Amino acid sequence: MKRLSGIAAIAAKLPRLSPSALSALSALAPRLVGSGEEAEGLNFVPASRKRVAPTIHVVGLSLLFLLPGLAISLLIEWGSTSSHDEGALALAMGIALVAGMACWAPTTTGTQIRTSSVFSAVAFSWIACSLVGAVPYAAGSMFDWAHFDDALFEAVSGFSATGSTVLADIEANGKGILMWRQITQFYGGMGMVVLAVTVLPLLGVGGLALMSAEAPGTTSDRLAPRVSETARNLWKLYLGITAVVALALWASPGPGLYDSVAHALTTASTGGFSTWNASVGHYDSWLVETIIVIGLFLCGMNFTLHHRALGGDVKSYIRSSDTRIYVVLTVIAIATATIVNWAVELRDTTGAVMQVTFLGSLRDAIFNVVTLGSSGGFGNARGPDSLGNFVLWAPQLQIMLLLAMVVGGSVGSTAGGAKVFRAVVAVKHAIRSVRRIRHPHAVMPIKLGDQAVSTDIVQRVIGFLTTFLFITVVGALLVTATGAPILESVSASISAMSNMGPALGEAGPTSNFLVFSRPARLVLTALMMIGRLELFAVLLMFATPTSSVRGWANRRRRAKARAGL
Amino acid sequence: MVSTARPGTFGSTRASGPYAIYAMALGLTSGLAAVVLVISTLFAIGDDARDSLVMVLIAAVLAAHAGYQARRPFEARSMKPVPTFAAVTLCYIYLAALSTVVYLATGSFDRFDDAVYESVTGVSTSSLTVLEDPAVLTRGVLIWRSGTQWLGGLGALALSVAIFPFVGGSREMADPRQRGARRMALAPRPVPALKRVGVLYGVVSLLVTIAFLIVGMSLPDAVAHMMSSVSTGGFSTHSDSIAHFDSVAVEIVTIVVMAGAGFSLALAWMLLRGLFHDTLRVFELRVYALVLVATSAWVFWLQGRGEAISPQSTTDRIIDSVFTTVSLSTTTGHRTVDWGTWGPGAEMALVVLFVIGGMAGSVAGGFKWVRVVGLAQFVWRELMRQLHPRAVRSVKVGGSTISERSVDNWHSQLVLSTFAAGGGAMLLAFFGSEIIEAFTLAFSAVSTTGPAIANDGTILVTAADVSRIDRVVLTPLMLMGRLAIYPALVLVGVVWFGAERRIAGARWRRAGRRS
Repeated sequence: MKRLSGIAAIAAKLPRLSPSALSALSALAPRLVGSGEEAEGLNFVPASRKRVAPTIHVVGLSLLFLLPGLAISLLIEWGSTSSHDEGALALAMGIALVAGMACWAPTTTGTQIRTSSVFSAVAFSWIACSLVGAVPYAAGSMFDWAHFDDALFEAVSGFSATGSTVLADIEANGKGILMWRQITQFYGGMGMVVLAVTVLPLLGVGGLALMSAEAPGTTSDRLAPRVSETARNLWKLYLGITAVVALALWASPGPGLYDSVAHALTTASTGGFSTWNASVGHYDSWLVETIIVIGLFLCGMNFTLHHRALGGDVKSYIRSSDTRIYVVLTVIAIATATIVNWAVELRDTTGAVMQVTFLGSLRDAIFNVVTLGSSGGFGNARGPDSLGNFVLWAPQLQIMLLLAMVVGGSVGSTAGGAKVFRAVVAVKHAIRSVRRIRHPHAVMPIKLGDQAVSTDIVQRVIGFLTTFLFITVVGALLVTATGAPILESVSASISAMSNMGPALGEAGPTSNFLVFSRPARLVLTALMMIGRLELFAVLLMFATPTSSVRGWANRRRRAKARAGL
Repeated sequence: MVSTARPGTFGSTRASGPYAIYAMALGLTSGLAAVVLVISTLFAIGDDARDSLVMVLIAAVLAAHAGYQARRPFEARSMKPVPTFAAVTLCYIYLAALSTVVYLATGSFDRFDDAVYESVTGVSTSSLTVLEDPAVLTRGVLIWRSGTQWLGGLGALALSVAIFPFVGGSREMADPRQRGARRMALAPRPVPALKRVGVLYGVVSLLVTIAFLIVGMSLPDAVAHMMSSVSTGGFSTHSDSIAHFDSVAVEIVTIVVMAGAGFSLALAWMLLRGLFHDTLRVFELRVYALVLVATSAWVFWLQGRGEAISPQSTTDRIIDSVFTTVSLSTTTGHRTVDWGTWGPGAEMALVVLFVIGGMAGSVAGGFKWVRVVGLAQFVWRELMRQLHPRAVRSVKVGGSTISERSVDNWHSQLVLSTFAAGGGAMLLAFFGSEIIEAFTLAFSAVSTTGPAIANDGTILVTAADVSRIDRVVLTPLMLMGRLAIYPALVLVGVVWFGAERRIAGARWRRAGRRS
């Protein structure tokens, strides 16, 4: 009965919604989540007067897509009895609606989209969404406007599916606001731009580029002939996994409907936000942890494989060497963590020796290795002195966890990090250069499974990893400069870049990022965004604006010259 | 002077053949070690009779070996990568073994493992000594201890300036046989280049000794610090390193010497030939100079913001900042001040500096700035390629094109050294080090620097605080780092494949006999 009370409360309040707002919502909603053809039919500005500005168009569309999530949160907040931040959520909805329409309606993407526009479209969409997503936090009771940077941290941590938090007490906030926090991760896991592509008219190659610029991984395979169809399939799959996890959690003893949905949203997106201070450790339940672990593990795999498997081709998992390595690495890491934690004498925060049983060690190893390997970042610690708090683990295991963070999940999944594929290619590339000393003229392709990886992709992988390293080092330098200790700074930079969540030391899974100063948190905010968009989109986001401004200046100069003549 | 003795007989002077290069390299090492030993003996004579006797005896044996090898002329017509690299690695191991013998024979160390560790630290020009107070050693041994670093530095210079460019592998500088690269090269062929390295190194050493004497060091101190400074080693004869002299003049001279050691020898040769403009136009030089200045300023600023502001004057703090920055960025490890109190920002910046190290073609260890610049250019090209997928661009460092193979190798070097250091850190953590200590120790060893940072932010300057098992882990890391990874791996490969071939051959012969 308790489960349904929330819904009942919402239902009881529904008639109080002003009729005009309801009709406006219902008028917008079906069109926005409908298919591309319908969206095309929604013309506020005649097509002839629309300007071709793909970046602005996609930004507007992404903002509009925030509306359903905000609306759901608003309803929940309204239905809950504990807090009343409806105003804040409504304000955010207003901003999203007005700004979104202003960007989207008078513009069009045109029939083709330039490569440079792809990056700026993606990056600016994410920045716009994060800014709007931070409004409910700042306008509500969570933070003051003076701490908008904290609100932004929380929003970026959400949209980038990272899961780091600056909330000292999560449970003190309203249910609706917390649900919005979970929903931001859900949006971020698959990506707002992928969502936008579902309704964009056929963009040709540019559409796929848009998706792959945002989707984690080096390639995004086509699941369907049309790009929007592919995007739609991905989102359906994503929704499906979320629904299954939510149902499984609901069916298990412990979490109610609200919490089941909330945790399912952040499991599918490998985000790691929770509605509880103790995260998943709140339930102290094998079953809940197992469901979340399975969900995270599946979402750390390539979604294309899931799509194929649903179509009957289950063997595609085994055929994919990427997945094989991901599974093997995870199993090795779990085994190592289990044995070492069981064998080594560990001390808790008070310095007392911890009693570790083998099964207990196995349980915490499985949960933490999977949650860090798939860039989830949930915690299962039952209090700061339990084994689930991995900052108490043996130091060599913590180094292994850092490595797991960097490597992350498979290509084409919702996981962050550098990805198994890239790590394997980099190692094979390094080994090849040593073998080349012996055989300077041999042609040695780099193989993954039995497929040779093309030189082009190898170079891109190298470029990615080197950039990843450069940015992480610069981030760590800046964070340490604010006075944070080295261990925390380096691990937090790695964690932010690979969209993990918790870091080591004081910033561990039972703590929060308030241990860092405000400037340090701003640096980490930037790192999370860069990491989620796989570096290039953020680094190249100014390419289109620059060329636009330059083009405009050139035109003006030419016009002036003509006038002068 | 080709001998007429028939091959295979005793005293054969076969100059070619697969093992000639190993014999030649070991002979050369013996000769150089003998020279350093003789110098050490000169200092030991008035101090300790037993030391002098032992050193003279060892020096005589080494000289005999070197003389025997010198009788067998060596034609370096083709330096094949695999034997060359293996020979260089072997030389380092040989030198470390030699040094261990000297330490044990003079009774400087009681324990075998301490002697081995100190020797490897020496030859790899690292500075994490096991001695809390070096003054417990006798004068002659102290000179020999710094001398191992001097020899290690010479080997590293030879490797990076006269071997890698010709043989490939982890090439930092362009092949001098190629057009356009000749201007920057020390010599167009390996053997003249090697000779020039030796001469330049010797001349610089002499000048530095004189400079140290002028600013008021005693002769033994001047020689010992010269040897450990020009080689970016960092051993000192005093437990508080350069701070012992408490003299601004000594500090400034040391800064100049260390910065010079982090400076490319090839560029120094260009300067000597009067090519000032060409030298100043080298992009890496500009980057390196800028980094040194910027980091000194950054460290100075952070130091001022730190809680523990020392009661020193601003001038002292400026000199300390510059000294520490230069000392660590050149992977030397001399110190004037406990930089562990400067706060995490400064420490992190210094760690990054020593991981990167000095310029290409210098005696400094680490990843080298040319590779950083090259990889940054590579990243820039990748970015541009995202925008213009069909454009063909090459990676350029300051106007000169870097071959794709080099960029490949640089990236591999990054991955390999990260793996070596990361694996080392994992092992160190396994044996009980805290995380930051494990990482900084391992990276410091791979870049042949020495000092590391403990988890609480204090710095480790002697290995006395590091457990014995950890020193065992650090030993191969230091050697690998000094050899820029590749040659070390090649020796492993040579031994491995050699053994494999032997086994396969034996099996084949046995099979043949049976049939």
